[in-house]
Amino acid sequence: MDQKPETNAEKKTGIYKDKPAVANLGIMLFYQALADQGCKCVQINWIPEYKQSEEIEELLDEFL
Amino acid sequence: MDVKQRIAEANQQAAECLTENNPYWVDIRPAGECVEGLEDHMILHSGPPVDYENMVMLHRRGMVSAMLFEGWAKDEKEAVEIIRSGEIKIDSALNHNTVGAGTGIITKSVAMNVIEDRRNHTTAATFPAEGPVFQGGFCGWGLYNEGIAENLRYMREELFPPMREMLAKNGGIAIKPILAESMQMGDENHTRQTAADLLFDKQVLPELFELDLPKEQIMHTVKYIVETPRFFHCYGQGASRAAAIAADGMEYSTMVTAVAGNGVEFGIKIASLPGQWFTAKAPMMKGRYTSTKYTEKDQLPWIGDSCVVEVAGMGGIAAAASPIVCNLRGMTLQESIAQSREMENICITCNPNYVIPNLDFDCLPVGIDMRLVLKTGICPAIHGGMFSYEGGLIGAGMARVPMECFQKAMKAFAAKYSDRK
Repeated sequence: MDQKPETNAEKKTGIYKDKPAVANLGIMLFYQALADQGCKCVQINWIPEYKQSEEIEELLDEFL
Repeated sequence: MDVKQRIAEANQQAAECLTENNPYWVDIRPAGECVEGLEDHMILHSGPPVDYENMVMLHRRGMVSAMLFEGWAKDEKEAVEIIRSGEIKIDSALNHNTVGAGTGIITKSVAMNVIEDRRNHTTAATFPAEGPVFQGGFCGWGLYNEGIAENLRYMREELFPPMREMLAKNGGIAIKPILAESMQMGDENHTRQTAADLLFDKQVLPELFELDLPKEQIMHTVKYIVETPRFFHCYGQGASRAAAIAADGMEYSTMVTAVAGNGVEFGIKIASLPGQWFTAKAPMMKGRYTSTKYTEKDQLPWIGDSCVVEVAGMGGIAAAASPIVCNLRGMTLQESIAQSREMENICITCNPNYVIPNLDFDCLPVGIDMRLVLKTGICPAIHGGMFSYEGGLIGAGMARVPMECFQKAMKAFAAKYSDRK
């Protein structure tokens, strides 16, 4: 049976050849589910920068 | 020195009030003798100040029960009339050197534990544990009947004299070593005091047995201590409150010195803004109920002052110390650790007295800085007990202090300290 030719993206990343390695941002549940399935993964504790109102942001500039 | 430097310096000093504290349980005395500013015909309650008309039913019932307990009214009807006439002064317990745990109803004759902070030169008074669970429930849970009143009198007249004699003999019981050791044994000292209770018993019971008193009298007190769940909770609260009071009034400090709810509103206080409350709608706790018959419809929004322990770096701040408590809400060990790590982002420093195995022997964070809460968007995690609208404890869980409290506090801070007016 003829093998399907690899796309350029697959050639670059080898995403379907090797087991995936995942860096998970945010939700811990996703990291845990991958880890439970034996996937190589790391959890990165990152949250988007929090934005307050303009007034509070100005006060934070002054006092922090 | 610019304002940012002044804040940094003040916060360092404020945080040292929490980390360097040296609390001792020294006595049990009527509230009228140890709660500063508690006048005759005055009733204290938990959470930010609230009028009788705007109180939840638990607080209203507490007001009435206090009137009857003190003999200020002959029945419920008269008690309500007198309260509504304005003859009775009503105030937040956290406007005084005390803590309103649960409903936090305090009047002059209630016996209180006295905690003396020998580093900060402050004292705090806390409502004692009301004994083993019995059918009548407890005053602190927003319940009241003659049986509960009788129990309070029994504690005062029968159970406490041996304790007072022991304290007079030994000069006081050090609270901090018990807190520190118990934090390494699975307690976060808000929802869980299992280890602290045992450490306390180990120290106190032999001293009680050595008193020259009838065995039967000593045994009543001993049974009260060992059969009461979470007996040590009030001592942790007293130690925390005595430390936080020391930071109150510290100019330029942005550290949080009180966190509490009254079932309607939730409020915080800031060290440099003494006497002011910054409030928002009281949050609902998420957690586990004691019975499947309870749902969120039964649950009162946050009520109680016991978050004084979070102010001092325990409870929700110390989740990593007690994965057992967090697991009651379905959290994993990793998530418990993550909760304390998250709190590091909003705290001024860490407490070298509370070194936690689950944190690879890092110290717990301590001293909530309102600026960091606003900057990061991370609201302090607080543990506590869930109350029913009808009164009584129906579960335990966690909530977050509302962001609105910090936003209001920051505006008040700016009104006092900003040069950009």
